[in-house]
Formats: sequence, C-alpha cells, structure tokens
Amino acid sequence: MKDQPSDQPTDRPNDKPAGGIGTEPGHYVQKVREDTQRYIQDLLAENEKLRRLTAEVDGERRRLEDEAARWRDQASGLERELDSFRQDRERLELQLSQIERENHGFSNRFTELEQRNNDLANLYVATYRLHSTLDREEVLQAIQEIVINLIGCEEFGIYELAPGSNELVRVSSFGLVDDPFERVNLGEGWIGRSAASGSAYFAGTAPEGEKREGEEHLSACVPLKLDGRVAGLIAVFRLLPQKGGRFAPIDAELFDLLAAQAAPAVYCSTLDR
Amino acid sequence: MLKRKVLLVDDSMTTLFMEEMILNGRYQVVKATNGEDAIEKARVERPDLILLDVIMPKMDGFAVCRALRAEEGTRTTPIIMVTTRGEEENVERGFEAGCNDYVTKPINGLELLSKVDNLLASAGPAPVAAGMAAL
Repeated sequence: MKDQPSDQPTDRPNDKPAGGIGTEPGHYVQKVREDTQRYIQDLLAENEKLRRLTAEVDGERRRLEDEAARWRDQASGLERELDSFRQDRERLELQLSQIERENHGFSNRFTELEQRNNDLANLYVATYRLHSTLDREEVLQAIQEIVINLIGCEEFGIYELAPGSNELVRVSSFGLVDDPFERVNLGEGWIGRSAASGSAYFAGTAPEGEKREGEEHLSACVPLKLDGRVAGLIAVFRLLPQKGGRFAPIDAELFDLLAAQAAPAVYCSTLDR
Repeated sequence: MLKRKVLLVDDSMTTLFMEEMILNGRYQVVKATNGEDAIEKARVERPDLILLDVIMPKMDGFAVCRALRAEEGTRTTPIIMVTTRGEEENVERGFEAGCNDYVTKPINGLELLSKVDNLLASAGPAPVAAGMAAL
C-alpha cells in the first residue's frame, strides 16, 4: 500500500518515542480524550452512586418521618392515657381521702364504744359489788372501793342520817384525819345543805359561799336516797392527783348509781343484821 | 391459739373485778388478793403478764415485784404496776423494783388493754395448743 495515514510512526531520526512527550499531537489528544472519557465515566458512576445514596437517604428520611409520625401518634395516645390515669388517680385520691375520713370516723366511733363499754363495766362492777353481800361492813367497804378505785378519790366520808334526828353521822371514811366533820347538822355548809335538799353539790356548780369552814377542799356531796328520802351522804374532798381536780363523765353516772343504790344496800345489810 | 394468761393482783375485790371485766374476753385471767398469793400463783400458773397493785397489806406491790424478779421463772415476765397515786416517786420506785409499765387508778379500760397488748406483743407470739402445733 502506497498511501499510509500521516499519523503513522515513521523511521525519521527526530521522531520521539511512542507515548512520550513529543509524540504526535493526535496521539496525545487521543490519550487525553480517553482519560477524560474515563474520568467522565468515573464521575457518572460516582454520580449514580450518589443518586442511589440520595434515594436511600430520601427513603430513610421518609421512613423516619413515618416513624416519627407514628411515635407522635403513640405519644399523643400515651398523653391521653396519662390524662386518663391522672383523672383516675385524682378520683382514687378523692375516694381514698373519703375512705380515710370514714375510717377515722369508725375509729373514733370504736373508741367511743370502747369507752362506753368501759363505763358500763364500771357501773356493772359497782352495782355487783354493792349488792353482792348482806354484811354491813362489806357494803361500806364496797362503797369505799367504788369511790377510791372507780371514781378516784383519796379523801372522803360516808354519812348516815341518825334515826330520829337532823344530824348526819359519819360511818366510814378514807384519808380524812382530824377533820371537823364527824357529825354534821342538816342545813350546815355544803354537806348539811346537800343532805337537806336531797340535791348533789359539785364544786364549780354549787354556790361556793355556802361552804363552811373546813369545806374548802370539798369536791362533791352526793345524798344517798332510800325510797325517795335522804338516808345518808357521801362527801368527797380530794381527788387523786391524776384526776386533775375534775370529775369524768362516768363519775357522775357512778355517783347517780351510788345515790340510788348505796342506801338500799346498806339498809338491806342492816335488816339482815 | 391459746389465750395468754394474765395474773391480776389486788386486795380490792372491786379493782380485781374491774380488771377481770376488761381483760377476760381476750386473756385467760388468774387472780390473787395479796402479795404471797401472787408469788405462789406466779410460780404455779406461769402467767404471761402480771398486773400488780402497789398498795396491799403485808407485802406491797414493790416488794412483790422485786421477789418476782428474783425468781428464775418470773424474771422476765412483763409486770404492769397499778398505782393509786400516779406521782413520779411512785412510778420511779416501780421501775426500780423491775416493773415494765404502770397504770393509774381509776383504771381506764382502753389504756390498760393497750398496755397489756403491747407488752405481750413485744414478748413474742402467743403459744399454740399442742394439737395445733402437731399439725
């Protein structure tokens, strides 16, 4: 073949080695073109990779947004549930406080009933002791024990109305030493006035001015009645220190019981004698 | 469960009766009317608790308490003293003699029950009947 393409290598002395600097410009351009082509291919591949990555990230973003929405739904559901729990708790707390109030009320009622039970036991014991014997000394001893142990007095006297006279005579006493009240005329001082009127006198309610000398520490005078008439009297001076100088509500009931039942008990024992 | 046994010691029949009324439902009650009787009953009956009056003829409550504390069988038995006067000196004497607690007259049923219950609860569980224990 005669005609060869002009870009074919020749054997001329100033020809440069193939591929190096100084090769023919067409060769170099070809190489740059190929390099550029490769570079473009790489860029396209990289672009494709980034596109896929972007698509993945987009997908992930959408998934996360869906998940966030689901969580938001769940959170608002939980919020509603929490509100409902809060309301339940408030309702239960209210219920609990009502139950506590009721419980407190029952507890108070129970204590009151126990106290009442205790008071009834006191009255039962007092009645039983008064009527458990026909021995006069034992009846007087029972009256003393009731006044000491159930009422809580440490100084008192038990009087009888002397037959056919207006004089009270002390037949038993506890804690009284050298006092002027062995015998008391009806109408004299608290003791005499209480016996004359048949009404009980209690410190704080009865007129203090009616006390006579020696009666300063008198706390109560309780007439003892037999068949509606005064047959004797209990004069209470000092109470035990732990009583704080005051009678308890049960004391009034015990005095009432003594007022009504002590004289008949003493009278029955006298009959037996 | 067996009822715990409480020994009541008082020379006043009224107080004994009152204490019995308060405790009888919950506890088995044994009574003594003087100090010597109390010591003898404590030896024989081996009560779980003793309710001991202070003022008694011949041997007062303090002496009885000391005697009970000197005995092996009653050295640790809870003792509640029943004082007529709740003065500090009386209370101190009671504790010196070896009592665990005290109540004052007139006896308040609620207070007495609460003290007896507390002392017996701290002493341990109530004994179980032999037949029940075998189960």
